[in-house]
Amino acid sequence: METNERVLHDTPIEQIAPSPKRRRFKHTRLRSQDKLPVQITFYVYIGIMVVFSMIPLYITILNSLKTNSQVAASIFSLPTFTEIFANIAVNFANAWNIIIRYMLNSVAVSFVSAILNVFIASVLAYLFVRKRFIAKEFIFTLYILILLIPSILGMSTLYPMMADTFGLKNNYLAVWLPVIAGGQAGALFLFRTFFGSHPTAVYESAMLDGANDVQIYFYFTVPFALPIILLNFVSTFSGQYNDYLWTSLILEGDMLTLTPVLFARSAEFNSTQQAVGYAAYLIASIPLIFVTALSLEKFQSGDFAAGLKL
Amino acid sequence: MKFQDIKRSIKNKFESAWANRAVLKKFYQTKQGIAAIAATVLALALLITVIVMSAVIPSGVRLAPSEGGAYTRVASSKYNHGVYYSDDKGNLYRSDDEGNPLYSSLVAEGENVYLNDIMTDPNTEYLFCEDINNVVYVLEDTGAEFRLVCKSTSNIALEKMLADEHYIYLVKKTGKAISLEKHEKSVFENGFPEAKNAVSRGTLYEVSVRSGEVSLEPANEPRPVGYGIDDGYLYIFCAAGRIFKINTDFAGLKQVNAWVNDDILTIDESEFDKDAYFVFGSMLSLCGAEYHEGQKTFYMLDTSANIYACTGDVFDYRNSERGVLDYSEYLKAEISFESGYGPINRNNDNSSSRNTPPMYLHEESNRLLIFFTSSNRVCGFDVSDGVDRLFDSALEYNIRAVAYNGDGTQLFLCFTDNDNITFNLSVSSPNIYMKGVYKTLATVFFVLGALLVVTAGILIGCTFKSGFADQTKVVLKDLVKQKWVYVILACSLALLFIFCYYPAISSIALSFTDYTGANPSKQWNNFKNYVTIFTSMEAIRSFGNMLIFLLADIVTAIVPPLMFAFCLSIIRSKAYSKTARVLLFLPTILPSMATTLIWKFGIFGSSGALNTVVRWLTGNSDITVNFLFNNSWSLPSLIFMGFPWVGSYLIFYGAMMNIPSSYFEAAELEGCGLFKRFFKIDIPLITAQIKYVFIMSFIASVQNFGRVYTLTGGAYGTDIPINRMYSYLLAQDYGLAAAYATILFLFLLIATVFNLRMQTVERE
Repeated sequence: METNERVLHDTPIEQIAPSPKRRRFKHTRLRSQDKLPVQITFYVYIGIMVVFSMIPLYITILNSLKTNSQVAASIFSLPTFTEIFANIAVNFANAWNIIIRYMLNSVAVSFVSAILNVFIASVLAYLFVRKRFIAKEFIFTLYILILLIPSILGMSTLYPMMADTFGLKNNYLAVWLPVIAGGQAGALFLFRTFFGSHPTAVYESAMLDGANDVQIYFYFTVPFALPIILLNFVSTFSGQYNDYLWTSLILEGDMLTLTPVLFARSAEFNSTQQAVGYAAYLIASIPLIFVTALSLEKFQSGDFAAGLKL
Repeated sequence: MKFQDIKRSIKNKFESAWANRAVLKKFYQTKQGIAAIAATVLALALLITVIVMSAVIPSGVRLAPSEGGAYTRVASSKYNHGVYYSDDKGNLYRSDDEGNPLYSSLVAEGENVYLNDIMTDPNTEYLFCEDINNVVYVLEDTGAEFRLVCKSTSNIALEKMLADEHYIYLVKKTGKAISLEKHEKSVFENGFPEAKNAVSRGTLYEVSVRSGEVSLEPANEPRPVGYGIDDGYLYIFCAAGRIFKINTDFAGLKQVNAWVNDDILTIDESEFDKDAYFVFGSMLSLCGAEYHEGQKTFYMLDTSANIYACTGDVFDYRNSERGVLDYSEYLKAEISFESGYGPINRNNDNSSSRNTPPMYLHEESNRLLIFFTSSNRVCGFDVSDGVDRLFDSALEYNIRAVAYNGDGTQLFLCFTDNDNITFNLSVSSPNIYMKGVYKTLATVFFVLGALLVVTAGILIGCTFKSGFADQTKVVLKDLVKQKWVYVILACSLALLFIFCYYPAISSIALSFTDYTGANPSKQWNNFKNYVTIFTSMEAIRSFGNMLIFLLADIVTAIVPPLMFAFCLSIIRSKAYSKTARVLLFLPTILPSMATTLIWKFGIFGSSGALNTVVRWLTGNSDITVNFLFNNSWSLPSLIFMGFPWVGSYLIFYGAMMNIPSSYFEAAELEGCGLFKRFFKIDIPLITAQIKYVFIMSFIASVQNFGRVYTLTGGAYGTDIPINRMYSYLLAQDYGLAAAYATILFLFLLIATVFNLRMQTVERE
């Protein structure tokens, strides 16, 4: 593996795994922008925007620490400090019992969708980048065309097809299959662009050493492209976790995912158990927190988003 | 390549081929050549078969009256092999084999009165037509026109007309019982005869014979489901299994003075002529019966979809001790069906099935059709020798009446669409139900033929074009060598087609039909769905709302984030900027449904943040502003949701951070102020990102289902098309939902194409 190591050391790190943080430009500061009134205005403006943006979250956290009656009385009142832990125990325990079943359903469905989506798309992207086959561009165009079609268009056929023809009503396969089929396109587009920027020298030396496609895929492509793979995983997971339209149509009863249940129970929460409702919203975000933490650093950097020049 | 060049090259090829005739001769003798020619010939044969089959595949022609309206009933007469149909204006038509009217006559009198039953019999030239007011018209078809023979003066519930050589028998429903009248045929020329002037008449009675006594009880609720005249006896098959067998002389009953009162009458058994009148009880619950005159066989259908065939002498008192017959001897066919469906059963007083015959027998072609409820299924049997199943098909409509033309080559169907209101008439070959079989065969042949054509083409190319053979070999080798690549691609493409392309195309096609969960009809409905959408005020309002939301969403997705990103890029303290970004990230981890619900109850709610502020501002603690469920505040509240709309500021921020400092240096040198710099430098340089956000928020706004659904459910003037589509999907009205989806799709498509064009234009 000496040739590979040499290649790895010689190639600048940016080429293999570009780290966005290193590419910041030094900003020239205009005199006009450093004037104190200007700066103060902007600080205040940003502060106000942040405060207003945080209000929903603040309301949620605050009210999950109060009792139901306190919430009903006033939404902004502060909870009594001594009661907080007792309130937490009651509210969160109740909320947990109500939504845990559906939350687990949601997590399972979203996780499997995201994994399968990412896996299939990355394999396909590997094929497109590394292999030559007939009608390559034509097939790629077939995938891209799907991006033009909104998912709602197919629903009129998909629902009777899934419910009656395949008999998959209330079965998670009915959720996974369309998501995977449709998600391939966008993910493939994204992956192909990123995989294409990998250095071919590494691959060639690996092939010289007799690695077959599967090994190359697992040992080289995936680690190199881990940022974008994780990004796609997170966005598919979030998208599926938040999905309401399709899951409410095709699932029912105990198999339901979280979003339809939250909506269905919301009126009930609002009438008598407001604090429990807020606690439920917080609990519902736990899976999203976990998954997002996976690629937190990638999200924060603004330069990464700059790469989305279309 | 120019057309002239193509012409010239083809000409050259032909000339060279002709010059090399010797080469051609050798071609015939090579293995490849023979294979290629054989393949081509076979492919051509298959293709021709397919084309011929498509021409032969029966399809129905829908008929419509020339002045508009619809057809209500069809019937065929075995007397003169004519086919008749009536329309909703009260006309009666005589039809030729293609369904074209030969002549017609206005029969039914009155406003909005039409004929809903046409009764014929092989033994009489008269046609008895009953209209919806139960008035009966007796007509004669003279061959050139209809002659009105007579008309009943009162409303008669005429169930059936039967005739034999000299007499006409009318089966009427009087009250709960069935009554019979026997009239001479000539009597009708003088006007519709009254019941009391009949040669014989009477009410049907149930007979029980016990220890020498015969008791007669008026037959209660005996819904007749089938009739026949055979060998001097009149048969009436009733639903509850009672089969009345009455001597057409009505002779044996003359002694029984049972017409007058409805009480139970008992008479001496010796006086009762069991050969003249007998009632068979049975364990069967019949829903239909037909008499095949040629075979002298009765075919009966029970509600469990069993077919029995027996002759008239089976219903002979002597064949059974207590007038109860063991029908298992006569069972000829059992039809299995899904639970919940069964043959059309006129026992149920479901008015939509009352007029529909559950079975129809066409003697000339020995074809028996049985119609099922709900699933609109029809089974066909060949009764020429026993009962053999011919086909089993699903229809797309509810059949009301059936008729064959004289030799059985054309089938006339009178049916209604899903709404059970509009009637239609279609004429087709009786093999129309075999369509499914034909279609499968045709598809198989087509696929085989296509494969053979491709192979033949390759082989021919191999021979004629040098290097083609090598190319093919390369391609084939590649297919084999990289088979896993192609397998993976094939699986993935299959998924894509089945779950993305096919639903999309099929939905667009569905939007032109009346496909619903209850009635999966795939008939072209002439843009009816689109007309419904565009003539409905609510629908137009929803599109207007969609445009309002679209405008608002695009503005709030671009302007506030842009300003915010600019401010972020200007402030000096990096720590402050980073803190702000982290804080702004936190609310995004809440699920979107949770955020929407927090807005619904925690902010817009009656004890929510906004109301608290209102109370605090006005000092009045009793005010509750209803933000959401209020015609004037609803739409603005929905737009307000998401305040302060920082949205995708990160994209703009990143782009701004990447502007090369040389621009700013130049601006500094020129003495450019801050805001001038913002408008002249920053914005133009991040136009790509602005366009990206524009198109993304455009698409998201049109498809934003959750916001309206969660907050107001579409009420109070906030309805948008995607919500209407969802409600139609739930109601299983797939055709209309598909129409909405298609409109939205076209809208998005035009917008995306427009946007992409703008981008490419700019790049140039």
